[in-house]
Amino acid sequence: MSSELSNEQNIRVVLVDDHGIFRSGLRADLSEDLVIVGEAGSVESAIEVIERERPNVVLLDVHLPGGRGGGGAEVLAGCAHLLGNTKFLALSVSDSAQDVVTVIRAGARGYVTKSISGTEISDAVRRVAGGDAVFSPRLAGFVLDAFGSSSVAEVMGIDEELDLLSDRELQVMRLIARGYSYKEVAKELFISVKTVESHVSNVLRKLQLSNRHELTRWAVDRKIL
Amino acid sequence: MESSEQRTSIVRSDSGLIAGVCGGLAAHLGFPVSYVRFGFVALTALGGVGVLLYAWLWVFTPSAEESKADQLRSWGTSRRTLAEEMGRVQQGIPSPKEMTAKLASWRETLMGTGLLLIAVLALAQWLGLNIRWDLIWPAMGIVAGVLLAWLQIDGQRLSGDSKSRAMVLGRLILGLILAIGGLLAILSGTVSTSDLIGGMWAALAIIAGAVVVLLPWGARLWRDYLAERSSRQAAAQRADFAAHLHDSVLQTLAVIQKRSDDPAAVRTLARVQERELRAWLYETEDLDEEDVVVELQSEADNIEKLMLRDVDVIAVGHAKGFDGQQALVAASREAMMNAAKHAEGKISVYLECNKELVEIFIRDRGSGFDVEAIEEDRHGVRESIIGRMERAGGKAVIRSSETGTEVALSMPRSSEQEEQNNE
Repeated sequence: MSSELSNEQNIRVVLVDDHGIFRSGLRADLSEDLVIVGEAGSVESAIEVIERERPNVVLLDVHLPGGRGGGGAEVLAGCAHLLGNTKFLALSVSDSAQDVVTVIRAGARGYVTKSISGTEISDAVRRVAGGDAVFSPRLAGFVLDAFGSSSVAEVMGIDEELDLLSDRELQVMRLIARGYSYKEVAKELFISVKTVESHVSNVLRKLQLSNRHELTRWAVDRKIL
Repeated sequence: MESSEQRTSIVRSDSGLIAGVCGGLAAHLGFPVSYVRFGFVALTALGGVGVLLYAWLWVFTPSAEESKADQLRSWGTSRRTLAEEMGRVQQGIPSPKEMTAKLASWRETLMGTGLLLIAVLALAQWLGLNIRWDLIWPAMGIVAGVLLAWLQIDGQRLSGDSKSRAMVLGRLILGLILAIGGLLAILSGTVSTSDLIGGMWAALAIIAGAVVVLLPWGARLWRDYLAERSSRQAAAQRADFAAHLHDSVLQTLAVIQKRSDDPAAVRTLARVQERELRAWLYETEDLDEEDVVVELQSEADNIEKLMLRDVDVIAVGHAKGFDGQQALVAASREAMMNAAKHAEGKISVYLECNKELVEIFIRDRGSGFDVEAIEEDRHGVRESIIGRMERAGGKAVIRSSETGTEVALSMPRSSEQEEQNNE
């Protein structure tokens, strides 16, 4: 799916990061079929550029100056009406659960750390543009930590669909946390890459919408909420 | 004499008989302490001027401790040379025991002299001299009260608990009573008792009026003081930050510049530094050092540093004190080491602790090897991973293909065991 899209038309990308050095590095690293149509270094300018350019994908730094100090999550909130067509991929130097979960809950379609290679990030952009979610091993680890294993949930009598990860979803998350690519996950579980993608998207949706009290407690423990 | 060295400002010395004023003044003027002490005694004999001067200096010069604290506060951000650093380190090595013993003997001498003086006065009166006891006793009361109260102020910083605080308060009140009583006694010689009582009411009224008028002002001073103190704390924190960045980040950047022709080393250095800085910045929760997560992370850090390779550790859950934890961590280390030695690319480590099991997966992206082909002679994998895990009651599974190798380690845990072990 993602490869079809990239063949048909170039993916238009906006870079949002307050470090010029990082932006220029990323510009050089991204593959040819990704067209960078705009850059921004603060919350206000980011919202403005995204409104104007309506890109397919926004590479969004979690920590941004300006606005009310909300960083990337504030940009997401400001562009909430565009979320259908514009996909956000969060980038961060920090692995802290707070940063990751905040932007994901605000609507980002994925999360990668800045140490990721150029090829990997280009793939991630294409994947996000195609409507899929991008989970780094770290994010998968957070999800597993927050949602726990299915057996625990059963014991606690939680049956709300949103508050549970299916066994398959847990398996996928575990493999991603172990460093498997989507392709490797598919091979391991004898399913198609597309199925893996849909599992990951489901997990993302649950992560964004769940009111699961473990998630809340987990977030409170880490002073996120 | 002054040309080479700037004269230091007066700082009351640590090792004074009373408050260290003489010692501080001696250090400031460059005279021996005993001369200064003698000077004060002589001035005191001249109608008590020495006592007043001593009191004045006591109030308005900082103690050594205070000035040291000031120095420490301003120390953090300023650049310093090696010599200064050394100096600072050496300053921190006093010989307190010896000093206090010496001081105690001096204090005894001082008290003895005072008692002797009283005896001499008594003798003089017996011999027929008119000694004004009605002035001497109150004056001594005032001095004693002041000493009692002021010595507390100097000592106060050290004490923290409520018991010693109550004692401080008690002494303060005793000092106050002594001093006020002394003053009243002196006055009662010249003023009649009824006048004195009336005057006391007047004094109380004046004090009450002054308090009412000055209270807001005092409160503001207090607030300003609090604000000042918190900004000082912030400054100290910034200094701490600067020091840390200097010690770690700048050093690493220097090394990176030197090794810029070796991309792998640069990458690893950057990564190790990143991890360290990240830990320093974000890790607020106190992790238990015996936790398997922490142990695994530190093994991974070691391998990163040793082999200059990236090791990514993702951990879910916590566990400690289960049987076989040691074996599990040691086998993980071995597996990470093998991955670092034989495979290219990133090494992914995933640790999951659930109720029954602790599992660790170590994955590399090397070209793989035939697991069946490693026979008894390959001590590394057979013995240090599989054998070690099995002996400790766990399991090790190695899967390898041309796209990479994954070592899966699992160790059962039972909560009763852990509770026993953790007690």
